Amino acid sequence: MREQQSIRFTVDHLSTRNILSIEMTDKSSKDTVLDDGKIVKDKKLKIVKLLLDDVDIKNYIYQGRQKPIYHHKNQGPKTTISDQLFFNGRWKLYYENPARLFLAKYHGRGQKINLPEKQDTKNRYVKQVIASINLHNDKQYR
Amino acid sequence: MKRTDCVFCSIPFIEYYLPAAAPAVLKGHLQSKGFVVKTFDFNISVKEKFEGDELVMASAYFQLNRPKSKFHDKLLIKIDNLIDEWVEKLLSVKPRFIGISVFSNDSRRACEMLLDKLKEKQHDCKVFIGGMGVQEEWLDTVRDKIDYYIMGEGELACENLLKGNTEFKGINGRVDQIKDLSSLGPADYGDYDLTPYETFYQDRKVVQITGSRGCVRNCTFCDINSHWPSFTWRSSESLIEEIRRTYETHGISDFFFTDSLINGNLKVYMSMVEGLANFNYENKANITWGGQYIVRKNKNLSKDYFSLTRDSGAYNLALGVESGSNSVLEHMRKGVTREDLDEFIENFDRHDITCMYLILLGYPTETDADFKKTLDLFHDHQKYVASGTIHGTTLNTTMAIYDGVPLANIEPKVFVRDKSEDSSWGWTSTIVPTLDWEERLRRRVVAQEVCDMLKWPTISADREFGQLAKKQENYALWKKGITSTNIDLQPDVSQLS
Repeated sequence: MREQQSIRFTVDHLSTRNILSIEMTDKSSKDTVLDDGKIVKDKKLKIVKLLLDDVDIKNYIYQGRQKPIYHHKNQGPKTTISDQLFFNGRWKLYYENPARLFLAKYHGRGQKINLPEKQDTKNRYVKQVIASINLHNDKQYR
Repeated sequence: MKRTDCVFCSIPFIEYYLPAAAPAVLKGHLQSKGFVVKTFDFNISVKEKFEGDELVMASAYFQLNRPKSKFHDKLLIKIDNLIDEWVEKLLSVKPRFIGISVFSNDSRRACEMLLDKLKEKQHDCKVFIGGMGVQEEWLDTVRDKIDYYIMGEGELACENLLKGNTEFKGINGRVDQIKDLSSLGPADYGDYDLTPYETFYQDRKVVQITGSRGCVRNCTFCDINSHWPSFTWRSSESLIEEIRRTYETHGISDFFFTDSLINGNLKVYMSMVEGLANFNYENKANITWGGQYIVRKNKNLSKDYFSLTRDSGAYNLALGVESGSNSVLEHMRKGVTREDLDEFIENFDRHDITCMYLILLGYPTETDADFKKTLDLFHDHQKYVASGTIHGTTLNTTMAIYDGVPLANIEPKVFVRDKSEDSSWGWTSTIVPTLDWEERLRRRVVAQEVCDMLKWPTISADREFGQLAKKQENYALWKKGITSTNIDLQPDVSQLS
């Protein structure tokens, strides 16, 4: 891959649990050119935009992890979290199908309004309302 | 102990996300004039006392505003005790004046109960009420228990009341709208403990700020323009100065605008977001701000509109979306279309600006097809929930028609009220004859199920359904002819098309 490229592909296998992998290959230490300790030329792979089912996963992207294959031992952390790959190795991102529902659930997980007890309370009153509608109407809600 | 000049309290029901602004706003202004003022947020004391299983029904008790609604005796005793505690707190600061902030119709029941309790006590305080819930048609209910009332903005009227100028226009009447908001003293939230609020901001302190009053639009379902006939605003310089001062003196970087809409005056708005963006760039302050916001047509916006909105720290803006149907939006006089919203939210998504949708179900002209268009909106915009741009939606408790809203006076009438206990809720459309309370309730349930299915977070749905269940209980009783209010089972059908 050279310069900025867009890749679009369809996955036919719709299993629930999936890993999206992006791999950097064929980078060697010669690709990193130093001048007075500073990097003046390098090879890297930057994920500019990633869409799953047409959803821009700009925030979820940081759930991706890479275990870089460094040029030298102890060159960096074992696992990196970034939208850039500076070393060989696979960057992996877990997701589930249907992706849109999975992502919506992911973003809503930290909200206080989604606490299980609030959901339970809401569901209890929804049932009560439906029962009342059905009791007092010829036309049944369901 | 020195007497306090005035104590203000907010009372239920108001949502529990942030402290009620009015007492703090009034306190700030009166203190700037040299008065000693204290504030209490009694609304949040409901959440503190009933947190857990009882909170939904305790909230509904105040919200329903109807004494005939049946609640458990245990709950009623606890509520009674709570109001005794409020009275003790108010009198404990030895005030010359007690001001009760009646935020909306939902606070009237609490106000009546508090006034009854105050009347039973020995004290020499003057009691007055104010707020958007104070309207002519309700005043007679409480007139013998109060000394004064103020309709409209309270700062100058309260200042004059405390000075003894009881002839000031607005004391026992409607005040003239304040034109220069920048001349008012800054709000003071110092008496509030900010921890119990159900804020979106985890572990962060949020300060409220007012940039404008009134609205640039005149939506048929909203009574804002009857309270503030003109749209008035503060200069962007004074807003930025208040934010900067709060940040530098208290380290607080999260702000919430109390405005009916933040982006009402585009020139002032652009100047504000540019100033805040620069402040963020220069100080790495990470200022965030939120509040109510209107969708605007793209053609009216400058090319920097979205990028500056983002960089200034916009967070979780509450968008008045209301409906997915253009014909409903047109009748509401929203001034925008579904297509405008599509473009607006796409720009939010591209620029990392987060928001939530405010939806209003069961508008009188909402046909089945219109309702389905709102459901389509949830489907079509689910991808923005998935991307993290939309934080959720409030589906509300369906359309209520209060006397003060423009819709109530539009001719020809698009609704007829029935004779159930609360005809603000109990009405039937003249445009869509099948659209009555039960149909609106059914649509609310369907919308909830669609949102749950699509993983749209629905804000306050637990409390809303608690309230809806109680309303339905009363309505069903009336419909069965059990209550004495059953004069006519159905509305006058002669007006139905």
